[in-house]
Amino acid sequence: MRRALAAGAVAVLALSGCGDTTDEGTGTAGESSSAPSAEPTGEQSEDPTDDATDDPTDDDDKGDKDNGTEPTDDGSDDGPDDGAFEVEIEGGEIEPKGERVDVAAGEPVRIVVESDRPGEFHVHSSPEQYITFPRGESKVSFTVDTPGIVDVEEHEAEIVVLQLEVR
Amino acid sequence: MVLAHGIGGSQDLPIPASYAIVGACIALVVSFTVLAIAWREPRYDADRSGREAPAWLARVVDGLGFAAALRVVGLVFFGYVAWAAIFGPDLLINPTFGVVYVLLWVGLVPSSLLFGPFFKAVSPVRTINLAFTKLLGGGDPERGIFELPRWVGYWPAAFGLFAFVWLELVYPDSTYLSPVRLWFAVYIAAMLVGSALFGTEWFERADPFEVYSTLVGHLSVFGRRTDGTLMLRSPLANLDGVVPRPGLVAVVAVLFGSTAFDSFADSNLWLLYTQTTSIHVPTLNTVVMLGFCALVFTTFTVATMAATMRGSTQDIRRRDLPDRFAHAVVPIVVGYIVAHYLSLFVEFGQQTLAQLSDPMGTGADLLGTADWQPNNWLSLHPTFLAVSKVIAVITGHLVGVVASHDRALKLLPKRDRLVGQLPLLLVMIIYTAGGLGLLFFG
Repeated sequence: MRRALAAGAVAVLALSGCGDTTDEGTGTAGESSSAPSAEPTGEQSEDPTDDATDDPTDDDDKGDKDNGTEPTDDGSDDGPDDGAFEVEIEGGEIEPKGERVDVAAGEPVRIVVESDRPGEFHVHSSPEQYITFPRGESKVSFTVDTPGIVDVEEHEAEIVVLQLEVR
Repeated sequence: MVLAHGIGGSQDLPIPASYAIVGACIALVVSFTVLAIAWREPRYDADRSGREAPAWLARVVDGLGFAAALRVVGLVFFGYVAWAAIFGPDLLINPTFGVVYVLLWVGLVPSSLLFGPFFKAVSPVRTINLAFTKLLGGGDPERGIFELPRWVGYWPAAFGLFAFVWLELVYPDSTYLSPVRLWFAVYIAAMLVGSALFGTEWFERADPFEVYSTLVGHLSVFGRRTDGTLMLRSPLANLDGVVPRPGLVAVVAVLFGSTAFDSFADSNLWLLYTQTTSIHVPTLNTVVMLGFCALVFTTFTVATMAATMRGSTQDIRRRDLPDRFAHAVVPIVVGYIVAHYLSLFVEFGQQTLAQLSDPMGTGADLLGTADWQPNNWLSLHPTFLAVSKVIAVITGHLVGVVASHDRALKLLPKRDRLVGQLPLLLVMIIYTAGGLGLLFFG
């Protein structure tokens, strides 16, 4: 049941996404007025952000891969908190704004978020990953398996906070 | 590219700096080697080179059945995608976006490289025009009401190409259905009205996809002699057959400039800038993309006009020289486009084929491809990908340099034949090195 809920939440999140796609049927439309509303499968009526606020961990459809994994040293030591990257959101300001960082394919990418509102990261990997975070300080983590440049975009601000150079 | 966000995929890793440097050095050496040791008399002549295609092949290709079959295939596919574009969901799972930006725009390069002027054979607007003239019992679809003035040349196509890359690379809502539908409605209207007025020549001058495809098709082994005979010949001889017309430089400049802009706009530097500036980003991108195209156009025009101060042999005016040399940049452009779009075409192309199976987003599997998972072998082998990119760019450069050398021998007065090539050679090296630089910079 919880998984179904999570999947539903993902579908709704995807629905309100920023013009991006998922790989399989739960596609997205943006909030642009040019996009008529769409009905992906498994849509639920809850507000996605409320739904996910109390669960800071990875909430995407393949999230259980990361849930509970204790972060290990992934070698990308150029951030604080032992290799985690930091994102700060306060009063409409968001930092960083597109910093490029090196990460290793298949290793967890960890982000420490300090935010005055709940929000969501879109990780533009294939397939895409959607990760919500609550208000306050939280830690999120996900992995990217395929090498490439992957944008991590904060959905509400529509700002790419990090560009992962995945090798 | 903008689509990289749309398709949920990542961009390619930049190629290593050493690859870019080695590639640029090879281009430099190749250029001067060609200049120093290549032939001294023009060698390629599209009308005399090559041999006639085997009789059976010519019979099939020239047959009515073959032409009709391609037209039907083109029209059915067009109708299928139009169905998805008009009635399908406005989501990124709608195959329209992949078909337009990847299968059509990128895919016409490999299909034309392999088969020659591919788009011309399947072009839905040509088919619709043909059907109209037949239905209305009108005369020859080839002939319109007016003759297209000579100075118009390829300028309408250059304009159309710019309009397309603007939609794809600059317009922020390029992955929504309504702008795509609007763009194609205008395109189809322009093609049909134009061909009614000026006959089918309009397609050869104004249809951005046909002009692009036919240009790239000159790098295939298939060509036609002036009398229409199907010929097999080396791509270099085939390239010689590109018809120079006003605006050809503009066409090439838009293709190259916009692809370079795409690389540039993907760079981290540009991301950091556009996310912090208060300038309206689409306007800024429009100006910068136009600037890239203008830069290619200007450098090429200046370099070819600097080839001789004396006027050309064959009574060609100096200001006609740029269009006479423009075919030689086509291989450089194609090499760079292959490098730039290779992984996107292979990986998102597969995803589009899967999406095509479910055009309405209802979970249908009309083509049996819905369950395809894109094979991302290329992305998983970044070294192989990077090497392929450099090879594509260098190959394009080599072919381009040979083509321009041959054309110089044909056009330039004897005294300027070698020295006159230097400005153009320099510009070509800059294009190639610039392309490699952007592949590294991205």
